[in-house]
Amino acid sequence: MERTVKQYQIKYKGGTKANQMETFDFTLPELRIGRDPQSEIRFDPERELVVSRQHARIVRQPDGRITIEDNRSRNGLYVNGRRITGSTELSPGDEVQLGNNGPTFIFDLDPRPVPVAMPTQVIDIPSPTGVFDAQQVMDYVPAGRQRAKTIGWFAIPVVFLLAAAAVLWMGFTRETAVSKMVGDGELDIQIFPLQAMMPAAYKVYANPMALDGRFYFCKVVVDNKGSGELQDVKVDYSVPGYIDWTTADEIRYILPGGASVVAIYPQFPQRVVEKTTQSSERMQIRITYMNSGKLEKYEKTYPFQMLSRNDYMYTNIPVNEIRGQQDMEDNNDLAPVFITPQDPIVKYYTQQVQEKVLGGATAGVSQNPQEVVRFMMGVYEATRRTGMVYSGTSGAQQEIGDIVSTQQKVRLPREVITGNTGLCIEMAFLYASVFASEGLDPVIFFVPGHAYPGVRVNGQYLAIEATAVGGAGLGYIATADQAFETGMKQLNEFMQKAQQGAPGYSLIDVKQLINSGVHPMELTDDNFMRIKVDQLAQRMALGGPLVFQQQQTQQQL
Amino acid sequence: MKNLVALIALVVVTTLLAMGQQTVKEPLIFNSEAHIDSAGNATFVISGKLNAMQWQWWNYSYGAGNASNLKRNIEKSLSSLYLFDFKYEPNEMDRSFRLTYKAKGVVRYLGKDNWLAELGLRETQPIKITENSFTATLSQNMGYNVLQTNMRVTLPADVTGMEFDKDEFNYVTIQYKRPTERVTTVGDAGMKTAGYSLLGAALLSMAGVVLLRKQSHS
Repeated sequence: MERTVKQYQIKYKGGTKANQMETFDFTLPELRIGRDPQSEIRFDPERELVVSRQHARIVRQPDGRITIEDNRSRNGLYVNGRRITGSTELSPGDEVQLGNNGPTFIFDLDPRPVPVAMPTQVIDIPSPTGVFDAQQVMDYVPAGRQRAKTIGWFAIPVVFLLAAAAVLWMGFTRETAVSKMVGDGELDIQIFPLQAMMPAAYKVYANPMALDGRFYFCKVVVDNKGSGELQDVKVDYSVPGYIDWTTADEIRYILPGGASVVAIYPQFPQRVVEKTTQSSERMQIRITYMNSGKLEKYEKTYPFQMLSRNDYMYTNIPVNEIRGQQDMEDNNDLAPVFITPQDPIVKYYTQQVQEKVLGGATAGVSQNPQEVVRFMMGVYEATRRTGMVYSGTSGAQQEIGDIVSTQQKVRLPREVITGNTGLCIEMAFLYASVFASEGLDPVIFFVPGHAYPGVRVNGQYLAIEATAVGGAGLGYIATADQAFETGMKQLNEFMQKAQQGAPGYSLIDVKQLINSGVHPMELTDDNFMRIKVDQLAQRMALGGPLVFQQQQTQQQL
Repeated sequence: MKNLVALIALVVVTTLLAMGQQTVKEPLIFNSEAHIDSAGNATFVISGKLNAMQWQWWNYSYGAGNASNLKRNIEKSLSSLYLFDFKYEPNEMDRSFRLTYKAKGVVRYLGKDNWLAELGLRETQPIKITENSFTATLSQNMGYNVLQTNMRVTLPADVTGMEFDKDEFNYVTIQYKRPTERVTTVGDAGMKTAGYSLLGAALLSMAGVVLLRKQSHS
């Protein structure tokens, strides 16, 4: 049985044409919808304002399908209650609405074609005839195409869902670029601060190069004991009143199980060497870091004792851990901070010694041992003539466990000169300052309970007993010859003991230590002290230039 | 009397000068091995065999008589590291010793598989031996003795591209590449990957459901 579509049927349901019906010949390839007078499905241009002039059109496609297209209408096109954009297929019985709440009509065909899916229908299938004489039912909705369309409709959402599952799986099973990055990092911090600082050594504390960085002020150990990485770890510190917040180090990553160590070398201002009293200060440490994308912070404050500029600590080792003489002398390498060859007062004093005692001679330019000995003895003679008094060994460490004397007030060389008195260590510092001022290489020999100065020349050592002046020294005031002889005897004993490794026998090579970054404090000129040196110089001059017995001896030899 | 004293002094000086020329001593020779692990920490093993004089001096200064001083000196000389687990085993019969300790903070991870190691080495020229090891010889004045340390450093086995340089303080730095371990894990540290995947999956699922619903209506 042949069923040929003859005409379009438009049954109006709402609007000004409600309950009316219009038919159009099916040979028309399209039906225009709108208020435009040229439209086939035309609406009242005065009253149906919701309808655009060229609102939409119904098109008969070459393959037999009927579609409806929205012509970018202002109020939209609805098919069966759903708004459509662009083109969609139209079936007989579909309800078309022009704009929301606009006129409505039912689209139909006369006669309606018979769906192929109905098995009880028997239809004739004529041969295709041409352009659109496809009024045959089979041309209208081909069965294979319908199945493909159904599968396509289902395939798209299924593809979307499968893609969602794939993305989820990838996201949760991705291999990370860094090991063990599961979870959070866990910061574990150990801080080893200095308990007390010597202002005189402020240049050493500030210098990571000084003595290979041995005298750091504080060490911070940052461990990551968690299972995730720590990022952008920053260690800051401050010393209120002296140093503003300063960044000591920044560490990009600390992986799980890893650690970083930050040694802090604070730049104290020069004014700390003006401190004449001790004070309690504090160092603040702040550590910030990123952990699992969050910024976290750790802060801690540590007290420390800031000593006066004259305080010399023989050791930084806690008293209860000291078990040997070497432990008592742990800070020996810091001694050069008290040796001040650049001090204007020391330079002036040296100049007076040369002029008044040595008759203008200088040993500074020579590496001849005899000239060096002459200069050493000249310095001693100057102290003898000015009546310098040896104050005894009070304060110097006497024995192991001598807790009190691990720290000592040390007069600076300029103070020994103008005060005309000194302990053994202070006189040794004075001699070393004068020697260095003349370009010699001073050394200081430490023996249990005592220290005395010397010079390193041509790879060998010379020594002099500086305390053989008045006071609690040798028991008498020795001549320069006797002081040198005593010094050399002590040096001989020192060498034997030191080579055997006897505890308590050590020396500091001042030039070597200065080259290693142990720089002395900077001191300014002082007119009052210069006047005092002038007074001493008058007494130096009383004996006239020193006559050296060695010269006579050599001549005799 | 004065002449005599001066003569004695001169003799002493001359004698000491002469002695000094003869006191060219045999240096102490230590062997040191450092093994750096994958987390950037290290284990050091130092050993030495000394002659009788050296052994006496060593024991007085650092060895069995004052091992804590040895520990403190090592800690000070490696100020950029944190040292722990010290063990000192002297062998009096053989005049030898074995010292071990561990160190934290030897290596820093720079990102993108790049690592930077610093072992407190100065004034030495490291020599690459294998892809993951090198040697260096250090000379150090220890009071009245010269110490020569022959050091061998071994990095993790999967190290490549080892290069030597110096930092601003003239310390030797060792830069190398080492792939960090790859593990299957729940996203990254910040769970960003997992979060993004959840968002993406949710959007795709919504689109799929909407299309399904549309299909069912039509």
